[in-house]
Amino acid sequence: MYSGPQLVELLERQHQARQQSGLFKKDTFTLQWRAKVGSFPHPDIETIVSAGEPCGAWRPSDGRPEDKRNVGENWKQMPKLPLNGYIPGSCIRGVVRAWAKQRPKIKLRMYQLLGYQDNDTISAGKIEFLDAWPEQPTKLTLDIVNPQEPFQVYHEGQSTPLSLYTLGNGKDSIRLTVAIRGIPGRTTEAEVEEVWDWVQQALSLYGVGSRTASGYGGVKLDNFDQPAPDPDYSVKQFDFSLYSQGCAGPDIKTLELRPSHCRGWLRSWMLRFLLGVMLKENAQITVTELMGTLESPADNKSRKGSVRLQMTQGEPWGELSQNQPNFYAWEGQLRLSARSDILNSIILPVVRFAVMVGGVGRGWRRPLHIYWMEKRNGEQEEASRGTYLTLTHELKSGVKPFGLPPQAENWRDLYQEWQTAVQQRWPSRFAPEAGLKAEVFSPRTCAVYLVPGPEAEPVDRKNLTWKDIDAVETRGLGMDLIYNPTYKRQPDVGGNAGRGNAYCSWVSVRRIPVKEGTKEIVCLFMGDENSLRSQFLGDLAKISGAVHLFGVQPSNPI
Amino acid sequence: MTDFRIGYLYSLAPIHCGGEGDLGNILEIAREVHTDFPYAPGSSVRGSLRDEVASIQPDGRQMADNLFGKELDREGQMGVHQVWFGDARLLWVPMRTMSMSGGRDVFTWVSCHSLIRDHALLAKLKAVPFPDYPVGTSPGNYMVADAQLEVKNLSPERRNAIALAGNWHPNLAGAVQSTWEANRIVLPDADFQVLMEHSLWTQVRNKIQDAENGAGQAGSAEVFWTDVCIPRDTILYYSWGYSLSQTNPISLNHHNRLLDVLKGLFQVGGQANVGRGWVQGWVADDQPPTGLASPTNQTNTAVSEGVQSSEESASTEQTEATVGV
Repeated sequence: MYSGPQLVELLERQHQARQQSGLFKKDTFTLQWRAKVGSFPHPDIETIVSAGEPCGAWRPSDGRPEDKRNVGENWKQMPKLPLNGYIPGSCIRGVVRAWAKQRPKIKLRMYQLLGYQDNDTISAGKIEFLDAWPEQPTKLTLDIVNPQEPFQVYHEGQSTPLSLYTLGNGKDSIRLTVAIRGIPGRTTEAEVEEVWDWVQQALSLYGVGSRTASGYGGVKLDNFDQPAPDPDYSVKQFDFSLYSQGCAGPDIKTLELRPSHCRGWLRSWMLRFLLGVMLKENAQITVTELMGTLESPADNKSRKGSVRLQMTQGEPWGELSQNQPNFYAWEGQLRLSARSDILNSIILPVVRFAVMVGGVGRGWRRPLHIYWMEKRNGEQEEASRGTYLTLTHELKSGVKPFGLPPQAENWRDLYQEWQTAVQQRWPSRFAPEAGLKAEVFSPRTCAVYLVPGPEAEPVDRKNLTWKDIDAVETRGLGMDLIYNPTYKRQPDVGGNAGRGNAYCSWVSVRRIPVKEGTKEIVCLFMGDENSLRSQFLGDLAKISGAVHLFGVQPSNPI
Repeated sequence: MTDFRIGYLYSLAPIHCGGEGDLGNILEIAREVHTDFPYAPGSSVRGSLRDEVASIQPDGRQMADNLFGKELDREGQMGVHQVWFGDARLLWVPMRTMSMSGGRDVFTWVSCHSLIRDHALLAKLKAVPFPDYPVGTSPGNYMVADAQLEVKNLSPERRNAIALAGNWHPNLAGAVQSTWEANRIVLPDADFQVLMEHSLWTQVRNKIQDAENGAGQAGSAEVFWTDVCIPRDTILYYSWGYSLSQTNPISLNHHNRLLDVLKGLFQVGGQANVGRGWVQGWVADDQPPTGLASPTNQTNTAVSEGVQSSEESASTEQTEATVGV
């Protein structure tokens, strides 16, 4: 028996029967991906669970519900919880209030219609928000939280992934009914209409629940135009395509691309840049001011953040390549929003650099290529590794790639503009320094070279096939250098992904198309003083045809 | 009191009637003193019904004054009520975290001896004793987490004793009624008390800090608390009836308007602004009471009932309070 949507259906009929239809508003919204909204106390006390109502048994045969398990164990034993998910009316009301507070002309009106508290005085509102239930019963499913910052930027140990249960399974969208009601005798049809417009605007703009700035909780309303951004905020929209070895979600065998992959990508790049112009603590604080945090590593404070990221799925989505070794294709839209001055001068320049030196998600430091993987039994087999990311944006002159030309002056000038913007915005924090034991992107802490790539692009992206399945032919000279035994599987340079404790590589390589074929952009993060990395820098600069694009050179290391 | 009836509520949203519990940041709900079971006080039900009657046009406010008594005005004047309501008590509470013999998921309602007995008295059903072990409409082994509940079969006379009076509301006559008819368990009171302590509906809520001048930083949780509610899909019963004025009785129109509300959806308890408290109501007996005003003097009744002496009002409120608690 599923009675979740029944209240809204019956209440609408009652309003009609009593000639009060104008005081009742409802519509079907589509939850695009997953939502973490409201909270249900999990028996293990720690695991975060979206709002849900019991609908089945916690089966002892699947393990005691109060036991704390890692994500992999939960995937085997409790990929779903016996809870039907819903969106509490309190969450929708909260989103509408937060939206209205950003708009001075609406804020006071919102207090009149939705009520307010002024110290001990509470003024009642006139509009009621009902729980939004999915049309079909929808159990909460396992999700994963896996912060990567210490591993990816500081080259410290990998964090332990945590379980999270959300409304939505990461694949199917969910249709749910959102409704509000004006209290008869206390409000008018016009006022209900006014608030309903706020509901549509707020939900469409922000989504619902927590983690909305990371792509959770996005909802869409049919036949509703794009909502207006917050005052002083701008939106930058990209079309993206990503061809990659695939990223894992809660199930390591189910490859997916999640909004949080893109969010983590942007966040880590902001930190890499800020570490180049600020002391570590200030860089961390600044990142959390931009991207938000529950508890900043610098000062333990939580911060709301101001940069929002939304990802819209397109076609193809997770489509498998036509030939072996398999890779996957994702295309869609990426929307970044932030205060206009921050977006244009602080965020977007970093995106331009980031998209030129790597991809997104698992394998982001390597171009999509084939390599021979050694199996446990000693045999070797071909595998796809790496990513190929492109961003395009629409200009008056047409759709153009978003990035940087492979010429040193463009890289130098854009970095200088970015650095000046940071200095003007945070003058007291501005303190360029070098030699941090971390991945720091600055002229003093990294080296970027353009080197010859494979003769031809090895991937036919249109037909999702490898054109040339000779592994070596998928690599350029930068990749060849990384695969040189001197650097391969060396934690100080090439990294080591598969043997016991994983180590990130200190080098990222991206393949770019050029008129005569392809090139590779190799970015070496120098980190602390390190002889192997210095040796790699020397070898990189010596590659025939290498062009220095940015940062340190062998004659002028850190 | 000669007019004595029974009504039912089916919760379509969690019900939160605020209580006085002091459990840190847990927002407790009202509980009966003698059983500790959650309930919706009669005063709360009555206030909701009054608001609902008043909201329906035409003449909503006037009808509400006639039915419930005019509210205290600045001159200290109050009206006399002509309809009364008792507490809405639990009857059947949903228990969903269950399976049958470790197999299929089961949605079932549970109740207990004392609630069944008290309801039977009001509903004029033949009260029968229940054994000190669980009995239900679908006997078998039920699993709740790692606890096992062995439910025995209900005898025909006990099945009669757990019936509802009158007919279900048509809005619930589909999946809800048929599921209810097949899935009920009667527990001893002590077992039911444990459930009412630990198995109510809860929701963790927080208020997000939206400025830097609060207790925390913007974006952090300014306040955390846990709401406790009577869950959705709970069936409650209440007593009600008429106490008509000898001199200015209400009319058939009033009765029909009240029935429209009692057999409709209305909201009980707090947190209405976030969708809490909605119930589908129905009554076992919808016959008009004897002594209603004749159609010819209905208009007079509606107008003249508005003002009563303060002395009469005070004594009436006292009577109602006695009935309601």
